[in-house]
Amino acid sequence: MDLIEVKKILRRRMIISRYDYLLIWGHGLQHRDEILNLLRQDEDIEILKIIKHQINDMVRFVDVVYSYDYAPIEHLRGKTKYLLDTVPEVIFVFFRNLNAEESFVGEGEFRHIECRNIKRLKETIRDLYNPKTCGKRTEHHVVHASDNEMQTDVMLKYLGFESGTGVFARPNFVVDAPYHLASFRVFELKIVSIDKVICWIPHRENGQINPRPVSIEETPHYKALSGHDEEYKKYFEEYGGILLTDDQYLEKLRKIYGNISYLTGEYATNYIIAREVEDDKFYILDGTHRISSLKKSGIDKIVIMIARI
Amino acid sequence: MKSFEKIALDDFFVELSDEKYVIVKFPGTFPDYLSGSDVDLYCLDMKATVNKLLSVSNRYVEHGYRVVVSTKEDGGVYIDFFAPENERIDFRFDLHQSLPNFERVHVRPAYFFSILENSISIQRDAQSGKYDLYLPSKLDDLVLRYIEYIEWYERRPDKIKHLDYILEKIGNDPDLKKFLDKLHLYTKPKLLDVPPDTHFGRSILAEYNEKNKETRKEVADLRQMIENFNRHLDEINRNIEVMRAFFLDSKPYTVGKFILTPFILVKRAIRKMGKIILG
Repeated sequence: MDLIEVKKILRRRMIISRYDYLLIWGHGLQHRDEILNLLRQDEDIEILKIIKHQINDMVRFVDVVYSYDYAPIEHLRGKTKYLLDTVPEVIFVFFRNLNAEESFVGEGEFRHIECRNIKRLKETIRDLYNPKTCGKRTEHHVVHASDNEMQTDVMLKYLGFESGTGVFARPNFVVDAPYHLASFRVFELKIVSIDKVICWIPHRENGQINPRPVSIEETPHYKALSGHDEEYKKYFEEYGGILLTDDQYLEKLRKIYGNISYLTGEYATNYIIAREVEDDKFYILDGTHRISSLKKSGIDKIVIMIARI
Repeated sequence: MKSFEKIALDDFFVELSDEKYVIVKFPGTFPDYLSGSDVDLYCLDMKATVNKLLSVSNRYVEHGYRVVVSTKEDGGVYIDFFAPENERIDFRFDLHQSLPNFERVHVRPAYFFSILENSISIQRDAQSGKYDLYLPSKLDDLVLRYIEYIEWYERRPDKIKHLDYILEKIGNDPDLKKFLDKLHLYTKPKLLDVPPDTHFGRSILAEYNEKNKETRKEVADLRQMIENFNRHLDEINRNIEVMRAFFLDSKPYTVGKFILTPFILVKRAIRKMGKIILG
């Protein structure tokens, strides 16, 4: 291992990693995709959860959002008055900040700690998408971001996640399984016929949304790879931020399909995770995009991880 | 397509070359193994070690092996390999990220890291080239054997082989002092239960029970005394209540109080005495 590698590892160990969030206000939703792309391009940001939230009481909501701000809410009333006239719908983007460059900013009673990277990101987004008057950016911010992890914890609890940032705890400490799976201590690696794996797709019926088991070919993912993009887009438009809270999008699916390298190189233990429901029949828990790509590539047998949940 | 009769252990350890680990009780038959056997590894980075072992496991799974990974209570991990169409474990990697709990001897948790820190490497030839395998140092090998001897000799008399090995290796070796130093630094014997079904246990236990019998009698006598005292106290209380009721009901309150006061004082005194006696 050469000196540069050692320095990289040491630097990595010293870096603070924490949970943050970005809130896209109603008047910024039209720029949702562009804002999300900016986050995706940042290699120090790992998007974990995207949640669409309808607001019943904007005044109370603004109070909650700014409840742990460094400035007292009375100071912020003037600054946030414009929000009362915006569309009562927001999007939360929760992410892991892999390089939280925390530093003190501000003066006097407003002095506080914040992450320089998040500050830069916020300002970039605001410069691009805040409403403008006479060509000049207004302070009617389209996004708000957390100053510290405590604020992220508060917002998660407000949205109903009782454990706050604990919701992002991994279910198994030896493999990289997504946080939204129930914890499991035992898993099995097995080669199975790809057609024995069943996918779950949300389905709206009689005003209710329920998951429905479908074959891989019936998923919007497979259909998109077969040329039916609209069905995939419609699927995420309808259920994204509600039942589908991972950061998934069409370009990502195409990228996976174009570079399918299942269980090789750095993805050697990035298993498709399923649960065995009957002899030789498996319900997928994570990996619908990958399995659709593998099926479309003509693979008939795959190694999967069967989690004993 | 190549099929595997046995897993090639060299392949796994080639992958682990950059990880910090030691093989505890290095099997003499390595890389061959008997079906059903296992290898114990002490690992610094459990997650990295597991992931590297699984990355090699994939090619076995592709050829019909099943691999079952279980996390233990203490954070250790079993990786079990099942040959195709076989329900019995063919081989197990038993991974530890801390020392096991020993019943007969205290071992400082820090010793785990000392073993890793002082590990030695032996070079091996594999099909893919040369690689290093990591084992405990000679000193740590002796300490671990000694711990195993203490832990198991009652249940497994054959474990005396570890003691023979230690004595043979140390002999007139000047490292004897270092062995004892390390032993004293990191280990301490636990107080043992006397096993009842041995000649040793019977004589010790008998003496213990005899002494205990006297103590038990004294405790029983004291209990009886306290019970008797409490009965007397209850009786006195009842008498005081009766007299109190009589005087308060039939005479002016002040007269009743005047007559009852000495009894109340006596009652209080008896209570106080009781507390002193009983401590």
